[in-house]
Amino acid sequence: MSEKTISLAMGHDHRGLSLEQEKVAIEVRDWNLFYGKSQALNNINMDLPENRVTAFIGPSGCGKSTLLRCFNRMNDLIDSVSVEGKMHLHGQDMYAKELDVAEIRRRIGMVFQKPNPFPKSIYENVAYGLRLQGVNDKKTLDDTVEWALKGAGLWKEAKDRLNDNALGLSGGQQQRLCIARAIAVQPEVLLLDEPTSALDPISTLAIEELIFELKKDFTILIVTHNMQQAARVSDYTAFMYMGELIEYSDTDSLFTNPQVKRTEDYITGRYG
Amino acid sequence: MKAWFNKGEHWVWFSASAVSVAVVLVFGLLMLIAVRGLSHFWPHEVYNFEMVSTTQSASEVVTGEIHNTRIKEFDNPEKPGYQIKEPQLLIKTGNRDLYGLDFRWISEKDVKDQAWSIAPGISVIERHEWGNLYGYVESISKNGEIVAQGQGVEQALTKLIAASEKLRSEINKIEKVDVGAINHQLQSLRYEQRKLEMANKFTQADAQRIEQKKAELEAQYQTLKAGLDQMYVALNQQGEATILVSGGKQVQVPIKNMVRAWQPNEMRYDQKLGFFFGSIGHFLFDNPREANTEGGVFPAIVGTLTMVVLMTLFVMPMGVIAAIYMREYAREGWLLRLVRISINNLAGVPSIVFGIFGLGFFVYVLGHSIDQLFYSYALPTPTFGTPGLLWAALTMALLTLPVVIVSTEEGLSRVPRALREGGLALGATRAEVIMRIVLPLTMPAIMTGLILAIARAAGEVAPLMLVGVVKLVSELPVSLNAPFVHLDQKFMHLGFHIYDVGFQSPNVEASQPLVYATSLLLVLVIVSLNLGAISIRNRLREKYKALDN
Amino acid sequence: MERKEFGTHVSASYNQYLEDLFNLVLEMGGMVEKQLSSAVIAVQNADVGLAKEVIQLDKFINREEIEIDRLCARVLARQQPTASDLRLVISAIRIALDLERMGDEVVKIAKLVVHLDKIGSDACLNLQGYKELIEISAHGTDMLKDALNAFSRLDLPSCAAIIQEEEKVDVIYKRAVKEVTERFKDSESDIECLLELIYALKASERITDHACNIAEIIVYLVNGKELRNMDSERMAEMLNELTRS
Repeated sequence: MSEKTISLAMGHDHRGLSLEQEKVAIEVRDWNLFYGKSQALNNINMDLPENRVTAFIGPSGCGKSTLLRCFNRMNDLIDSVSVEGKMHLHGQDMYAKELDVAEIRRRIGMVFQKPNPFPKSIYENVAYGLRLQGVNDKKTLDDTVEWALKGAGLWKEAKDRLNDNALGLSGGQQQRLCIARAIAVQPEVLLLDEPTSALDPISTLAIEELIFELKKDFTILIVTHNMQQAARVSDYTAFMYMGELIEYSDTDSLFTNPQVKRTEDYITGRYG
Repeated sequence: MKAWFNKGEHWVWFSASAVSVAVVLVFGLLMLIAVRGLSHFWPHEVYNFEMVSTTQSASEVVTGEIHNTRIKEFDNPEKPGYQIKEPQLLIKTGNRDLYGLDFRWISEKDVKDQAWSIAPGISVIERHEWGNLYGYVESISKNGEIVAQGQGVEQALTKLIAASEKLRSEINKIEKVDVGAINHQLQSLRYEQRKLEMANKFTQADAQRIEQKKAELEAQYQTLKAGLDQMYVALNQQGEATILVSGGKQVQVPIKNMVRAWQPNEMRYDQKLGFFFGSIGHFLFDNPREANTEGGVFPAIVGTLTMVVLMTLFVMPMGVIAAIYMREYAREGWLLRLVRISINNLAGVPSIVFGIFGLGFFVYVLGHSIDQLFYSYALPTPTFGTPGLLWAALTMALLTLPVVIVSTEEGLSRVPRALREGGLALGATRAEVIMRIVLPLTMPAIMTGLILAIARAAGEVAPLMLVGVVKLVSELPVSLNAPFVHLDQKFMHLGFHIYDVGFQSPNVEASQPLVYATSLLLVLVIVSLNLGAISIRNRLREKYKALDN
Repeated sequence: MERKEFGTHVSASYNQYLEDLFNLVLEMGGMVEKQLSSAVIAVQNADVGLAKEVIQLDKFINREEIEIDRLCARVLARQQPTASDLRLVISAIRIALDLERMGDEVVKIAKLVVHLDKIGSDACLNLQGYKELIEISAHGTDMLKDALNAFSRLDLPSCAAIIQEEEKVDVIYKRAVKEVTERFKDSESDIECLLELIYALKASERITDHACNIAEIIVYLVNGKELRNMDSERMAEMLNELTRS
């Protein structure tokens, strides 16, 4: 891909986006997931492009959140879950036995549906991930906190109240704080699990704008119930249904001319 | 009416009345023990009752405080089957050494004109032995010479009593602290010798060293003893007071036997109030006297608090760690369910059973083993092989463990899953998430558990009787001698004190107000412990409030 | 893609909106069709009265276009249509635009009749090319009719037929223009007449162009494929595909 196309893709002009031409961040092959005996994900194959926003849409229970949680191995926490298949992050097997789960989770950050700041100060929230890694140097922490808060678009509002309890922030601010917390450890991939479903429309737009900014530095995967949101923020969209990946293509094509009838019915809101 | 029922109004009334019954009961209880207990400290007026002569008794003057009243029913000797109702007064006459009893019932009809009058200028003297003395101070003599008489003799007496009490407390301090320390060191030396002997390492040099140390301590003791002897002499030379008691008898009372003296009939209201608070101070900070029926409850307060604090130190970590394992690590299944059921049932086991367990396991098994292993030099005198503070605290910890576990578990389950995931998603391990995120949030719930545990432990008596509480101790379980908290010692406890004073006392009438006062104190101790814990909990809750919505 | 599928949304009001949109476009198409066929008759019979009626009709057609635009705006704002629904809205706007232009072109043809009447010369009626004008207009009428049918049934093969039809019309148009230009060299002929005729021919050819556009729009509506600006080779391939479908 030429420099020119990249710069075009970075702007609002999405011309020329094509999955074949993207660098792959995460590669998913023959991925199956079971809750006990019932299969929740069925033979998923997809390449998630680097520095792009990929949205996962689909009806409730289609497995999109489950798939997202596979990317930072959050499903490991549930005893009954078992997985099959391959998942590679920049060529490295994410489910290799010798791999430290915490390491994977550091490289793949996650922001959840409901803002979940820790009941600590704003500063400590952002610094939490670094402190976990043993970083205690004041200067490094200060710089990273500032960088992360700026990155999350919260610096202006928060810089004078860094030591206030994070729970005093508004919902939208809390969610941006969670994003700051996630990016403070400089992950390669950022997973967003319905990040705006608990927020008002203006906060939602602020987060969406933020996602747009963040994709310069991070590969972003977002699960959303809001199709308009997927259409607004994502470069690529994957439509899932009953644990299967039904259609996966660039957002423009998927929302103007989907190739599979299921997708069409879902995004246009038909009975199907 | 039907509409009223249909609206469900009757349920509102039902529930409201249930609440009001509960409120009335609680306040009634508190009022009862407060009034009965606190009136003990008030300087009541002393009256003269002029008794007319009856068939049973000759005419006399009874002097004392009105303590209680009742209506007694007699069979009417003239009309069989009918009863006479007769109002009676319970008079606290004091002077137990003179009359044999310090309370007596008199019938109002036996009092001349059914009227009694305030006894002007009468003094009440609290004594270290034999209870109160009611009478008129005539004179004070010292070494046979009269030093005060007539006008102002009461003030002189008060001064002398203060001096003698000061002396007494100094003596007490030297005996308890300084002599106590010497005894403690002597004991340590003896143990050291025994230890060496048992190890067959007792050499001549050791013997010499120990003898020398002993001699040093002995010398110290002799110096103290000399001082003490002098003080005792001084105490004995405080003189004595001649007091005219009712019935026209004069008695000589040595001043060193007096605790304080007051003239209730001459006191102004503010003086009475001052006396009232002074009495409460005596009650709180004095040692008990006269088989616990008089004096204060200081050792019981200290014992109760020490035991509760120790219990907290045991039950907190135990309960919290157990709850964390059950909620965070253990796999849900029949085994965990069984454990939960067992713990919940443990909370329902009668407390005396815990006492038996404490005695059978902690004292006899654990205590004996510890004695065999570490304190064999002191045998056959048991150190931990006998009921004591440690075992009482452990037994109470066991008793309250279910409460702490259950409320901690509840608290853990209320921490939103999202927060744990947030921590894990940043690369924290489970343990890090628990320590840094979950536990701080669970603190309010843990505090709630602790409040319940403290309330239960401080009020429990039955098991303590088996594992360490006694009616009287000479030494407090905390002292200035290392290790400061003596886990092997027996201790006094407010709850047991109530039982002991109320039911084991030879002088029921005299001890009754003390039972109420001690009950009130126990309630206040528990309430203040709870209030402390509740305020901490509320502060924590405030901090994490925003999480709940 | 079938038309009835537009009525299967969970939201009934959404279904109603799209149904209304279809009906409005077809109604407007019907008006333009009527206008065009009247114009053909007016040209054939040199019926000035009818021609004036045709010109009058244009106002209603313009009003209809505004109505369609309004409805589309409402659907966009309220329902945020996606996929085929979005394509339907876009198509409706574009078809309405084409229909409106068609109406304008029909007016130009009608004006020829009025103008020739004003000149009062019968000579013009016998001009070479007049016949072709009628022929092209009749083709246009058919194509429009077909396009509207194709729109209402979302029928791809007939779209292909319309696009191919347009090529035939082009041939006729070129011939007619050539003939009329020849006549300019005759000094005896009325220049003004010829000029008017050229305009009318041009207008009739534009009508078929618009009909062809509508067909292309329908293809986009049905399968999202863009036929505009396509080179002839791929177009032929595409049309083959469409005819077969």
